[in-house]
Amino acid sequence: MRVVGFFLFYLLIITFWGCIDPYSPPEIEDYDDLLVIDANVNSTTGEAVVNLSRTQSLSDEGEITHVSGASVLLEDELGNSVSLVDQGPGRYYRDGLFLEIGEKVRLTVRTSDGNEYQSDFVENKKTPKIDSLSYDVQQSGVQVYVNTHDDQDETWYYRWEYEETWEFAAQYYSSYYFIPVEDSFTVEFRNQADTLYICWDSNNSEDLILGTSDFLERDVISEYPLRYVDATQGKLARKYSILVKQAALTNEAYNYYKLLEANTENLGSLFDPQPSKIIGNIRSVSNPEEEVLGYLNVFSEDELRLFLTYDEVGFFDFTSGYETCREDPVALDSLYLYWRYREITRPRYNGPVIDGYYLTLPYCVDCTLRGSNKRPDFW
Amino acid sequence: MRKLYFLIFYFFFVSTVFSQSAITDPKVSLNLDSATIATVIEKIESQSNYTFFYKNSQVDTMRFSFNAENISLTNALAHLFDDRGIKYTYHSNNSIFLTLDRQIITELPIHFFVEEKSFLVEEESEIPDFLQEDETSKIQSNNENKLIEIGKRSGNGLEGTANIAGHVRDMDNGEPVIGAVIYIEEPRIGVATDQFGYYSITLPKGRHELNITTIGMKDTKRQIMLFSNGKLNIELKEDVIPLREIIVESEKDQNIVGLSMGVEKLDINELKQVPTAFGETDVLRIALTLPGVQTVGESTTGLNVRGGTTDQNLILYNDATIYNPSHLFGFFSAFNPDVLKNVELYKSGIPAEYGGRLSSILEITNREGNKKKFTGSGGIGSLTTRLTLEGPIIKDKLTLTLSGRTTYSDWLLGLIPEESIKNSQASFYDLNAQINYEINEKNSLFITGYYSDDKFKLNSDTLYNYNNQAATIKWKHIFNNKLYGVLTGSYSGYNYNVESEQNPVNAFKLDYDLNQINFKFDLNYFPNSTHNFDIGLSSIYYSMFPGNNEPLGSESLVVPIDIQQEKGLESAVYVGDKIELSDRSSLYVGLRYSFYQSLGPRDIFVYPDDSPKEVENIIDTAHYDNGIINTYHGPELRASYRYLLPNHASIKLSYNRMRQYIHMLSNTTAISPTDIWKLSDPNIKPQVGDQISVGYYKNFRASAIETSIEGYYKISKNILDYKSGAQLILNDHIETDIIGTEGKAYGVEFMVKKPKGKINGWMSYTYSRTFQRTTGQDLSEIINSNQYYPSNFDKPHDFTLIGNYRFNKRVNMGLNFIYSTGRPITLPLTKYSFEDSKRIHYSDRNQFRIPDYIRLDYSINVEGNHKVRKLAHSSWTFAVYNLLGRRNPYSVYFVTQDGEVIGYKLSIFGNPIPTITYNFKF
Repeated sequence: MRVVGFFLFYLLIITFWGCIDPYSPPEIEDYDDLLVIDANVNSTTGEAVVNLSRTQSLSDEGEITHVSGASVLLEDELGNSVSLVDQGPGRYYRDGLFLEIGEKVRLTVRTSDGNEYQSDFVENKKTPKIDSLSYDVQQSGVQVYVNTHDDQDETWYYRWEYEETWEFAAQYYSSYYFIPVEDSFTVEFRNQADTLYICWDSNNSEDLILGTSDFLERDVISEYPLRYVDATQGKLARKYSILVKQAALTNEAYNYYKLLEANTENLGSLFDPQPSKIIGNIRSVSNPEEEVLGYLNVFSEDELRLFLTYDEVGFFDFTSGYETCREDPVALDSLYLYWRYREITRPRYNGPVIDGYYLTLPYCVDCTLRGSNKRPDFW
Repeated sequence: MRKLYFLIFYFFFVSTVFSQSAITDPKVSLNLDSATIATVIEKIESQSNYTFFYKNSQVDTMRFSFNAENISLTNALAHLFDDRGIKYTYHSNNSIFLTLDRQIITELPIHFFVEEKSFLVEEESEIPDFLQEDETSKIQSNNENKLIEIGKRSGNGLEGTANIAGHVRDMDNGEPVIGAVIYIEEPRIGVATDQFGYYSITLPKGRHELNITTIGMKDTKRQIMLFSNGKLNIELKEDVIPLREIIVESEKDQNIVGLSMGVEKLDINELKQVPTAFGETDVLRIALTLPGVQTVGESTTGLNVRGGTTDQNLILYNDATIYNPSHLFGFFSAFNPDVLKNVELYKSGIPAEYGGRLSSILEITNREGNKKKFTGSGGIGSLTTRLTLEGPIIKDKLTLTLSGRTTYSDWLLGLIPEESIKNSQASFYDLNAQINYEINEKNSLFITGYYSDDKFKLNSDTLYNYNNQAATIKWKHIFNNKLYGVLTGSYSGYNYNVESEQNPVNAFKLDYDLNQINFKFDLNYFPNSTHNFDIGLSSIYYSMFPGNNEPLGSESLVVPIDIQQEKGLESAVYVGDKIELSDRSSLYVGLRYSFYQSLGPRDIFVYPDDSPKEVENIIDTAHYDNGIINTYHGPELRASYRYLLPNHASIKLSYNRMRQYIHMLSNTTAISPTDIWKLSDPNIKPQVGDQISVGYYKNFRASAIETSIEGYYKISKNILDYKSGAQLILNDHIETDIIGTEGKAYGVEFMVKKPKGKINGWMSYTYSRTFQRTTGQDLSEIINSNQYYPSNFDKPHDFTLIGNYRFNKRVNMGLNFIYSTGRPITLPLTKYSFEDSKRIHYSDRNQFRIPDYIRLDYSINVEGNHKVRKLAHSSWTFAVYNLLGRRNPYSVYFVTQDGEVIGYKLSIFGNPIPTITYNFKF
């Protein structure tokens, strides 16, 4: 037994071998000041959004520099073009661009200093429907998977984004509240409509989620692990929903995003590839030597929503964030000491008579401090 | 008949040796003032039960003055007689013979086989019936003083020269002693034994004192009378101080006298004291402490020798190539320390015999196994356990060695309550088997086999498995004193597979397989004392399956991909000659001519000459049937020159050209088990490298301290680099993802070494730079605008101190201190906003460095008691790796988290790591 103990101890050491510490790069004054063109055309919603900005030094904590006053054009292969509206700062927008599947467009940007940039023609690829969203209950959360396929075997490259929404409750239901009357107050019964007890919070995907079936015989994505819902934060305490948006990518776009991902999301392990320069599909026309960052992506999308409820996935231990909350009874004649700083949870009865109220911090009854009490329309 | 007699005698002799118990060495007190020999003898005889015999006329004129209380008899005799030239010989029945100048020989020389019935023992006496505890040293000294006649006395007297050849062996286990130096002082003529312990030396006829010296063994000498060509086998006794110093070069003075430069030799027994991260001797890790050898980071086994890439080292394990020399992601080397004999690293001045890689040859040799008796050894460490058994099947003729090593990491992982770790696997083992057969005096046979296997699986997902196989058969034939030949056949294989069946639709199995068959024939010819020829030819047949991906299970939709087989034949002929130009200068000239043929059947993509190799530029697919696709060939010149300066110093120069026809594809900084190798073909040219080096060597205090300065300059061509997002695996047009680069490297290596003594070790400082640049024209083929930039392993300053302090014969302490400049990295200089997240933009490659690397290791080695004969010898090693706990960054990286860019640095061994290892030997 002592031998096992020794090895466990040793293993403990091993587990703590490696360390990861924060690192700040050296201050560099002389950095590349490059134009960044972030262009997306969503042919399903008909919206085109182009953001123009410039690179900033890595150590620069300030806001990025937006590039306004440029002329931004989208044109098809026949030479028809539409210009995007400068909504500022650096945002150019146009709606109503419901492109046909297979239609190709390119982007031309002319900045106010006279430089011109142009992208390759990019095809609007058909996005197949999401077949299903499945899930798998794990030790402390739920893994959500996406399944899709293309009967025509033409898509092969996919990108997903998600919006997740979950319902949560404050610690206490507040049935009464203080109404200020001149310098004093009265206590009123709270209407069901303005309850602060149930709220919704949401979160959007930040990282790139890319998948491919190009190593398979058929264009099938099976159980692609899309999102691990960590239950310890209370997301699965009541009801959870995830909206998954799927977009087909061209092979070039997939490779571009894959490199972007490799450069910024996967480094540090022993066997990661070296960081590399990424060449997008936009080039400077006026000065071929000038490097320009960014990509024009044209896509159609399909979306599907999944709900997960407490009944389906079971109970998880979680931290609600309300662990410090407590309620204390206060007699009616002492309420004047607290009414400005506390909220009522429930009345205290002495027989049929209310002789005081339980009070708590506003935070413990008001979920709008952490989310929105407006029920989402899909709920 | 004579031999038979000898053999019987020998067995009898050995059995008596081992049946005798130790005799006493009585204490005596002497108080002599100008005493006569008779008085001396009388006093000693009265205090011990010894009787003295001597010839009075030889010693009666001498007077002895000596005062001592209670000292051992041996000691007293030494004080009394050594200076006077009186030899004393213990004999049975408690007799001691005193003779003047000449010792009485009380037994026949052992292990001394007579060739051509030409040797003669001057003084034969009866077989002894007892011997002292330290009988071997006596045998040794007896052999040292006896005059051995070699060859036939003939009419023409002592005119001209004659040749002596033979083997130098370890007296205890019969293993050959490699690199022992045999020399005479006047005139200064010397040779070193080769890999078989064989030597051949040509000397003027007449009387000589042959000196035999090597590290780790007691120096000895032989008195010879050379009449004509003959044989002389020499046995050396191991230096019994079990806790010895660390030795890099085995030959005493060899650093000065030898022709070789840029050669480092590591003796495994010595290196066992150097502290390592896991308490187990790791030859590759220790090789990294040598000047001129670097790595991108700890826990990786890739060696960068003098600015070369990791695939430019030929790792030969008993003459078979090993492709992945590591276990467990590189934390362990794949060589079991218990069976290793030594490791030799050639950084420059590479002999013509070797070829096929640009930067270095790392030759790892196993021990031959004990020829005299069955023994075992092993160790229990914190992560691994190992066992070796060895012994004679036919005594002195046929030995067998078996060895295995495994880890208990799998079992340990299973104990961890954390689910993700519990479902992980990481295990490895390696096996060695070896047979040495001395068929007769002229023929010997060596057969070795090696197998190593690694498996790892993290969190029950993808299973990785890789293994090395190697087998060698080697036949050595001695034609005559001046000529011997070695015929070697070997097989090496490396393969890995990756398997995943977690998702039935995506389940796959990927196989990679590389095999090679070697054939080699070498002749060594020693025509006279000024020439030593090495002539040979070799062929390597490569067969490679670069990737085969298959669906696993009936539900899997994975497309089977089978990259076509690659085959090649690499051949070479070489001749080299070591020439003694004068007493002071010697020269080695070697020419190797290598040719490589890429073999079909295979389809090769054809690209126009003037445009970059891109998929869009493929103009044709050429199909080749069985036979030659294309050929590359070229001469490789090797030359070294040594000039001896007065006062134990020399200068050396060398030049070598190397050609390499097999390339490792890896776009990661560290070597990974799934890196693949690629043969040259019409689209991938062979790598070519040239190196010149110059060195100055000087020894101080009778070679107790060795110093050296070596400088080198090196250029190489057709080194592979990769385009952004290169796909290296399952790619049948790999040339489209490759960029050709060229490299240059230079450096100066300073080294001070104290190989022996209570304090020993070495200290080295290296200043070296290594650069590379792309030569392409297309944007995707250009890195840093085709300017030279530092390679991943460019670490200009490197300081290493390896020290050892011996408290006493049982306890010693080791200390390593390592400093090097941080390796270059590519840092992002700018960030930008893209799709609501901050992204980073990498600019020019390798323009920054990670912080410097500093590490201190410490170890204490405690041996069991030193009784020569006991059941098992054991030792404990306590070591702390990274004593300072410094968090030496392995890498620096940037990630986008929650839309923001955050930088991190990763240290692999961020804390001190203590280990305990128990070793035993029986």
